[in-house]
Amino acid sequence: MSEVLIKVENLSKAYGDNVILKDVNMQIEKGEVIAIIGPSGCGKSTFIRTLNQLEKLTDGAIYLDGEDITKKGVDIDDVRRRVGMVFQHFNLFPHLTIQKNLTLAPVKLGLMSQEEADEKAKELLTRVGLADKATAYPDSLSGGQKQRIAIARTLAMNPEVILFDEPTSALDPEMVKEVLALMKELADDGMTMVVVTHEMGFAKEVADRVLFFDEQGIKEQGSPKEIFENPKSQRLQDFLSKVL
Amino acid sequence: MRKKLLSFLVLAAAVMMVGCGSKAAETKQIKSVDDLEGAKIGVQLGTVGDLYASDLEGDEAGTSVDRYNKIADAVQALKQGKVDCVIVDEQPAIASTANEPTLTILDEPFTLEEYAICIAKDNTELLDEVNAALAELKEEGVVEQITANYIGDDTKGTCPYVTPEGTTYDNGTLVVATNAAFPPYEYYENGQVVGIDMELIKAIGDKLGRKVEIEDIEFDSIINAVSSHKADVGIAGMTMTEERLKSINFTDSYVTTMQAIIVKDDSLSGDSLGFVANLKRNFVDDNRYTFLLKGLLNTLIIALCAVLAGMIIGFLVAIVRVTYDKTGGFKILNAICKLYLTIIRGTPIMIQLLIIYYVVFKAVNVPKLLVAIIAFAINSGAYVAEIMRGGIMSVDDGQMEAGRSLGLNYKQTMTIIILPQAIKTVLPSLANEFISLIKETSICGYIGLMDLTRGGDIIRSITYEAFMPLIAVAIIYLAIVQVLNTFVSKLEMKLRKNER
Repeated sequence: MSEVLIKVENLSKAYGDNVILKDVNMQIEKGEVIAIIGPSGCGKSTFIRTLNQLEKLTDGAIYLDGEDITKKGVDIDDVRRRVGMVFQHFNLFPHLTIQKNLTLAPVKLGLMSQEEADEKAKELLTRVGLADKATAYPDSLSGGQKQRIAIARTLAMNPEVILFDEPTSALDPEMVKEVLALMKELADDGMTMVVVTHEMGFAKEVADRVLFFDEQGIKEQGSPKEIFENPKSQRLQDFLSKVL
Repeated sequence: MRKKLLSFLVLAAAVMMVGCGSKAAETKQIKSVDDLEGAKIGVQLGTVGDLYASDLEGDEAGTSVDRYNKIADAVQALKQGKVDCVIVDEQPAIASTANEPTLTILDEPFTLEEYAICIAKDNTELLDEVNAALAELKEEGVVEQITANYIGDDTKGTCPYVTPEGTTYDNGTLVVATNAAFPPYEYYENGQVVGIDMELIKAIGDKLGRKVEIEDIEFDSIINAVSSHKADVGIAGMTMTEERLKSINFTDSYVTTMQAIIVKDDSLSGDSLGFVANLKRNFVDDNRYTFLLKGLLNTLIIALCAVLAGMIIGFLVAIVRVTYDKTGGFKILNAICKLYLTIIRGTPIMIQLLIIYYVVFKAVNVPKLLVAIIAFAINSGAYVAEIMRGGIMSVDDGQMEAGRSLGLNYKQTMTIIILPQAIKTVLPSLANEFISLIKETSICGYIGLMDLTRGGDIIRSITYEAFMPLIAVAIIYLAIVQVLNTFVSKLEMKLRKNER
């Protein structure tokens, strides 16, 4: 069962002299849901963005299904087709309808015909509860709806893993719940997920494993129970006392 | 609202013109050549009148010379008291005072002078041929006949030159540069350039077996055009002077004439033409309105083609620049683009147009319309590039990240996701660029291309009237721009409504 999907080795990232991440090692198994928590500026967003190479590494390697995706000559576009990403600010394409937002990439990349993609989009929109919005434009949606569409857009690519970069941070409080509910559904369906989040409730309830990032890397990790009920390091205890 | 604005502008312009007219400064009454000392003299730039008047300029008496682009402008200045007299060739003097009851020509001529045809220094072969032809024509009485057809109340219009039967044009064309604002030597009649010079050069062409092709350009550009071989010969009532001889050769003279002095005599009065009659004279007689229509057509063709080509140029340049900024690619191309932007945005469009016409296309015969389109496209491209770059930069970085994280490559993301949004943002700015381009094309007259402005200029050179053609041209520009403005604001509204 424990098949490794992503493996990170000695990952380092620096902007000039400013070291963000140093010698990070970790791995993600298929079907695993990982929550990444930590104070702001600890490099957790940078870390998740290195996983699909939106940020280049300074040093180290990342393996996807055993293949080093940081090597030269790797088809990075192909990697990204398999690694979906959901952004804090949704980044829907405002000039396209919801339907088109979902079908654009699969059709353009030749993964599906337009008909197949339309069919899939319909199915996904129903799944995220927004079937009636197919012909609407993104700007007519609420934040929560936008994020659900963004998740559906990622799902349309049939990714092997989805990276969530603070998916609820830009939402009004009353909309956080609908997005988290959808993410929980995905987790229950067995999707591999890496979620950078400030929602401790979600981390506690849904994650298989929680990583606490601080001081340029993973400071502490374990099951939600270990992290939230028995934090070992002083930094984690301080952090939890502030956010809980 | 808009109509009100329009009529207000017209009214304001009209008031300004009348205001200028009535504000007659203290003028010096000139009765003879001796009175020129200390006077304000009006001339046409680059003419012999200019040359001789310049000799008087700056003397102890404080003589000064105002140089105008057209005789009509100089005459208008005289009417308004801005100058004390105008020195101009005899025949244009007669023509330009014909409809001006308060202007008169002094009996005493300023100087006598002789007109000749100019030919490039390195083209002595043609010089000899033309001189030979001219000698024959003089001997046959053809020169006299042509002159009589235009000058002399009894003979006017009775004896036009007719091409001898059996004339063939086996030796190609003879490109003739002139400035058709100088009746009776060269001027427009029913859309054709006619006059003594035109008939004479046709007669010479017939002798040489070469078909005459007329290029109507600014007077002070003629020598340039001939010496750069844009034209084979220049004929425009041009006097041989030492200064001109330095850059060009002249044939033997074909007519002797004089420089006349026009003065304003307030004791004279007569009926000025009424508004309607004046309107008729400027636009209806000889179908003169067709100058404006043809000019307008050219203006629109140039602006439209240039803006389309400019968009393609601007588009490509913007993509190179943005790609360099974002990814560091296209290093050399980016440097070239930057140089292009610096040069084009750092020099006046008029200079660019002249350089492209006289320098870049010096050796090649390219239609002027195409030259203008190329010049304006290159110019417009630089501005479009910066507009487009701003548009692309204004699209949120998250859009590129979202596209890339879905597995689209840079090019795909750029074309399907970034550019459509950027274009939508800059569409109003692009339309505004088109609007300013339409107005900028008004300098096309400098390469002798008849755009709307020059259409009005030609009417002015025929009727010697400043007010009406200028106002008419202004109103046409204003109307086009207003129509476009309406279109742009509708477009903006529609774009805003979308995506909701």
